[in-house]
Amino acid sequence: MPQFLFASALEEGKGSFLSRLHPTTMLIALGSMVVIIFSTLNFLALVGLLGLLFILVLLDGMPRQPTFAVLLVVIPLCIFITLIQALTDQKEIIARLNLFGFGIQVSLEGIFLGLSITLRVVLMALIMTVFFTVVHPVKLTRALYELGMPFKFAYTFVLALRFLPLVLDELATINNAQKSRGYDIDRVNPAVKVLKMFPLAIPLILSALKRANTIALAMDLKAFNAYPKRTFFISLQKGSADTAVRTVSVLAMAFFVIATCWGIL
Amino acid sequence: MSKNDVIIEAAQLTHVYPNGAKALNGIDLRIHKGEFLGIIGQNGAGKTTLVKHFNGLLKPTGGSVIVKGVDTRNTQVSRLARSVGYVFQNPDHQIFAGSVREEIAFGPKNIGMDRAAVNESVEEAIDLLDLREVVDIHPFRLSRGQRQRLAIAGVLAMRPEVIMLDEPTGGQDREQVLRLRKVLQRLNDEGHTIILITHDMELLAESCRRAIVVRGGQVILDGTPAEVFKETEELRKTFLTPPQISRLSMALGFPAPAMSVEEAAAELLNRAGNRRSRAVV
Amino acid sequence: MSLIELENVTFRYSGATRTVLEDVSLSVEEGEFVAVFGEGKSTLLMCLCGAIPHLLPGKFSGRVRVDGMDTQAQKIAEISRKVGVVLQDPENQLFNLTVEADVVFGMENLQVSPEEMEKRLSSALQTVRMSEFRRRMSHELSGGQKQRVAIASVLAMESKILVMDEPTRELDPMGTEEVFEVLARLKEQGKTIVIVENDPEHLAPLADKMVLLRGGRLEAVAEPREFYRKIKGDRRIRFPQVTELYFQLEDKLDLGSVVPLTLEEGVELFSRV
Repeated sequence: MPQFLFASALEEGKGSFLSRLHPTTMLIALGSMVVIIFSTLNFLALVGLLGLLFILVLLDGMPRQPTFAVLLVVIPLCIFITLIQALTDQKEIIARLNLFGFGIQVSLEGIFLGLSITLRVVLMALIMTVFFTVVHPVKLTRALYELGMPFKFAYTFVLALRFLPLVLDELATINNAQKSRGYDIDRVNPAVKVLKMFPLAIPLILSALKRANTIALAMDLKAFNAYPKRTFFISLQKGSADTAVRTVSVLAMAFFVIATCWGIL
Repeated sequence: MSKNDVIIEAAQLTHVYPNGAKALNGIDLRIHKGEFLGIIGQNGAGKTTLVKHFNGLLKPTGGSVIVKGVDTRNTQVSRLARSVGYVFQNPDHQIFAGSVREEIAFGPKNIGMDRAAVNESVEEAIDLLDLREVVDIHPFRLSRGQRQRLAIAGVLAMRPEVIMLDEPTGGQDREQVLRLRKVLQRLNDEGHTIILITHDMELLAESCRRAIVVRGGQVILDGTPAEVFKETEELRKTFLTPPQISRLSMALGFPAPAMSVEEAAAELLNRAGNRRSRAVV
Repeated sequence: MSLIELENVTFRYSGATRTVLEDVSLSVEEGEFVAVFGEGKSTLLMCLCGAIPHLLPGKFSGRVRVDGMDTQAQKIAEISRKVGVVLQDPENQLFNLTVEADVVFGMENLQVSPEEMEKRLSSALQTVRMSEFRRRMSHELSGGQKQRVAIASVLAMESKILVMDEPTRELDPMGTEEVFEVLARLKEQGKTIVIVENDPEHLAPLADKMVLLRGGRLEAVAEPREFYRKIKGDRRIRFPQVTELYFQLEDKLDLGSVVPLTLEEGVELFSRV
């Protein structure tokens, strides 16, 4: 798991404004953003949103590297989407080419449509990354619990974060152990690769099950889920900043939805 | 290859991890055929990183490692597995098959042994590691000690010249450890080179004839266990303690530190005998 | 009444053919440090913390009383207030992201107030000497450090009894030293400790009582010197090497009747030879 996850949130009070907000505020902001992103395909609106988001990331003080790293991953996908749209859309043809005997037409509307879809993908990736960089996982767990989610489920997230890296490490170790017995999955014909997974998959699954078993036992011995309610060491604070952000989020969401319905956007 | 030829040679071996951490810092080491050596040190000192270079799991970022005359940088792990077997610490990281025989046969089949050789090898390994009684039990239902022996059998069946074992005695009682020691000694007598990574100083003293102490990615001490145990200051810096019997013998002024209780008993009887004979005179 | 009482405890795991514990009766007084050896040792520990019969399926009979509480009649959560458990693998006992979160976990489950949590958290980390690591991420710690945090997380629940199943098995020598140092301190503080471990040199000076289980039955219960004498021929148990040396020579040399347990005692005894 990338080290950056929650990096901003866990470094208490170090710079990032967003990480000091109540998790529920962030959930509301996230929700509003998702609605906004999917309410419009207006290219300019989406570009504007992207610009705002960038400014937010730069001003906030959160680690920037993860945000930009995600973009790099997403860009190839976007080029692909734009290309498909540009070549299949029928309106506003701006160019016709003849490539290897095939007639290809490039549509302007298609390009913009493709770019808009791309922007949606980029924006989604960005807001998810920002969310998970600034929201403290334990605070999030508590917030979700207070919103009504049973603690068992809210807590799964923390468990996954803690143990997924270990499971991945274990896979690497198992791979090494089997390599040392002359078994190299990388040199196997891709067609039969799935079948050849057993020597890696079985030890991994069994180890994961054993681990889960031990963890469950250890948790029960610490009275996990013993009572319907539990107390929390970490406290959640709500301030004026929270009210402000929540209000702005809801208003923005309303604006975009209405504007799209009325055809302004 | 004669008995005392060098089988593994590390020259200025350096390994830097992708994140920049230097795990090994210019190690020079020569291991001869037929040696029985133990590698000790704290976790993170570089012991496992070092032995992973011997079977090619890791390639040097600086310096070189030559195994049986072959440079590991140009060789696949699956090839080196024919000469260097590595038994990992946790047997559950290797065991996957539906039967004991299938599990043991996995390695030999991978390295291309023919069917007759595989079968012979599997049966041999079963007997050697005392698995005959459990041969029809499903591997997942075996006890931890039995699974450990199964994992060792799986590597032995490949008949590698060098056998490396990482903490092979975990969770085994004294009797089981003794049996394992006997198996390793027998293999050593037959000409296999044995490399043990262990935290068990008693095991090191009783079985190994050479001890290598690793600290901070370097070899700090290299000699017989007796020679190494005498270096109390270096061992202290490495947070290692010789076995109780060795410390006792050093405190009592023995000519050489005892490696086992039997050795210490013999020396004490000797002393008592001498004193008695002197008293008589 | 003893702090821990086992009466005629018999247990067989579901699906197993043999019983692991057969009619075992044992008492442990408050403040005692007890080491358990032999077959069924882990099972015995699981009976002390209530995992048997509540969490591990099988056929259980007999009675286990912990600080007056019958483990069969109580929920695991209530038993956890009396008995804290430390298991073998430090990795699987720290389920949270930070040291702090792991130490407070049990307290949160038991509905302890935040102010009280802060007090117990500081105290527990102090005892295991990990106070500066409070905000660190668990995955950054060494094995010995992780295990000490696991101990702290149990101390924070303020249980009188500590049950430990091979806590140093996965650790290197330095980690092992760290853990035994904490155990010595806990013993001084009056905690009752029942432990399974394979380190006779560290155990012998700490243990008040040693227990051997064979074939599910209690074969020997005694303080260390007497214990080792009783089980002299047993090749399956590891003795402190000085103790073993004593038994090898006691018939051939005049060594007196006191069985040595530590290096110091050994040097004192054998220097007279």
